[in-house]
Amino acid sequence: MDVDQLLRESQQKAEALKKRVQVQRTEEYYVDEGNMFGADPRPVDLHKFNSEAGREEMKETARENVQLLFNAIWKLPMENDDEGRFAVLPPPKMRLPRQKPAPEQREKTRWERFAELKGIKKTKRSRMLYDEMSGEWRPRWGYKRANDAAAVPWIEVKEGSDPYEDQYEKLKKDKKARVEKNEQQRLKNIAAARLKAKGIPANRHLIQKELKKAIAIGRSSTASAGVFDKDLPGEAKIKKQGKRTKVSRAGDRAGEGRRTEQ
Amino acid sequence: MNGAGGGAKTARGRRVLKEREPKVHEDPKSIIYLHGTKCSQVVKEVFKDMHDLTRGQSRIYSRKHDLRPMDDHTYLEGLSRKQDASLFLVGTSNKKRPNCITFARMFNHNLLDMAEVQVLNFKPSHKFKNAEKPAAMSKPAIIFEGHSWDHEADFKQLKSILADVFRGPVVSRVNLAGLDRAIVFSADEARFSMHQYRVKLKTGASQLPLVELDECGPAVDFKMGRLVHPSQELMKQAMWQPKQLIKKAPKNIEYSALGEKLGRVHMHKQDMGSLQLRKVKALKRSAKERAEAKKNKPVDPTAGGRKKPKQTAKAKNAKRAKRAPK
Repeated sequence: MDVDQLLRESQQKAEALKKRVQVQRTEEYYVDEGNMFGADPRPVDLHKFNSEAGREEMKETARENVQLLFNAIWKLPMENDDEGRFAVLPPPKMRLPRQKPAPEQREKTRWERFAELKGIKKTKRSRMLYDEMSGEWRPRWGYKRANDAAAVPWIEVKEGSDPYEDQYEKLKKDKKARVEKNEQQRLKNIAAARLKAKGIPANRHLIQKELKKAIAIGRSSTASAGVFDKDLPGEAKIKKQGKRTKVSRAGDRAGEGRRTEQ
Repeated sequence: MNGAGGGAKTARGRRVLKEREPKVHEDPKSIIYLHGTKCSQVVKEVFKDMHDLTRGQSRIYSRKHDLRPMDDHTYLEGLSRKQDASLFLVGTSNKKRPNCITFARMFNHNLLDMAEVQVLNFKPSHKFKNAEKPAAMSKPAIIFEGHSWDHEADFKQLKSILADVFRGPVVSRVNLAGLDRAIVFSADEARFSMHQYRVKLKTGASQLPLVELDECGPAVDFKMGRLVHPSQELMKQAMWQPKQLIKKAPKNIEYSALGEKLGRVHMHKQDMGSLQLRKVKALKRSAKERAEAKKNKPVDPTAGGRKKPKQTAKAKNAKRAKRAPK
């Protein structure tokens, strides 16, 4: 066989393949890579499906259309991983109706706003901590807790503070104050939330009013309804709230007067 | 809880209701195939084949339902609420409209739109040599051939519905090895056909594959029937996109003609005064200058109260000793 002829044949084959891959169209062809849609707006004659030749023709048209769509997909940015080669699809062009309305956005709480600002992310804290002093794992808080500042034989007196002050007492006092402050903030949040639920915009005066109510509720929410609670220094007595009905005793003049209606 | 039928009594029930709550990124719409009291065998077979195409997001009901969706769609709305489905294909057959399939689309469990089509010809997939059930939740390539799809209102609506039913999940990337099927819808004036092909990728030219098709069924010819158009108000609500889905173009990033990424970075003006240079004796302030600067230093009236304790000579010496290299 002639070498030239062989070369010519292989060249012709390659060109035919190229022609089949790179489909040339004078008409427009629409591609929506995100949805993997292709649209060929040329008119179609459905009667072609009735004959064998027509079916082949329709199949070749379909092949060209799929080829054009795949060519567009193959030109997208690619990613490789263990599972194979991936084409990164752009967002769909043709938008379809949603099945449900978008979820309502809940307003962020003060803490959430703050955490976002500071870039704080929620992480699970372990219950046990390593205690440097004893060299063992202990609970984060509670009885025999790890790294307890008060569980040391001595505490250094800070420069400039009263040397005769009991440092252990001071730790306890500070802790109590912190708990108290946190409690106040919690009640304040409740008050603000209550106002919000009522649809009243939070203003300082109103919050204070609500806060007083919330404090009263908070203080009477103990087992003894607040009767045996010790008052904290500087804490005001709570006025009893709500309507109080006067109960008349038998033989009471006022009571007699009221009973006349019977 | 604001799920269907009030709150849930069990944790499992709560989980189900939570799963059904609106989402920003929605799951693929679930599809239910069901048929009326009279439904031809042809339509049932069409449903079986279509159910294979939408595998993973569809259910097929085998019992008869007494419904005529074009007249009354309350049953479908109830079913949508109960089954959390948003696409229905209802098969009916009567003398006036034989082999009829009604596509019904829901938004928030309310009817959005409906389209009715009649099956003219049908060749089930098991009659094709290359028949093979597609993998569940696989994404097909979809081709719309014909002038009508984008230029006639009825076909436009039908195109949207067909796209909704057959497009599969919305994904951000697609495995090239998984692109194995194409659904082709061809339309003339009043009819359209649906053909599914198996795609074979062969070595092509210049990094593009050569696509070859084998018809694998089903092949269906349809005739357009009645339509129920969506109300504009409801469609507007359904097309509304939450903010999170709208992608903003990144700022200050450009691509050159050569495909290079160019970024623009905004910097604060550099303070040259505080630049740390090599210490040169000639630039040092003299003792006189230092004393003057100290004298001219403004006194902060708010500062005060506690004065910094004066360092004793002993402490000073200790500090100096610490600083000195050993």
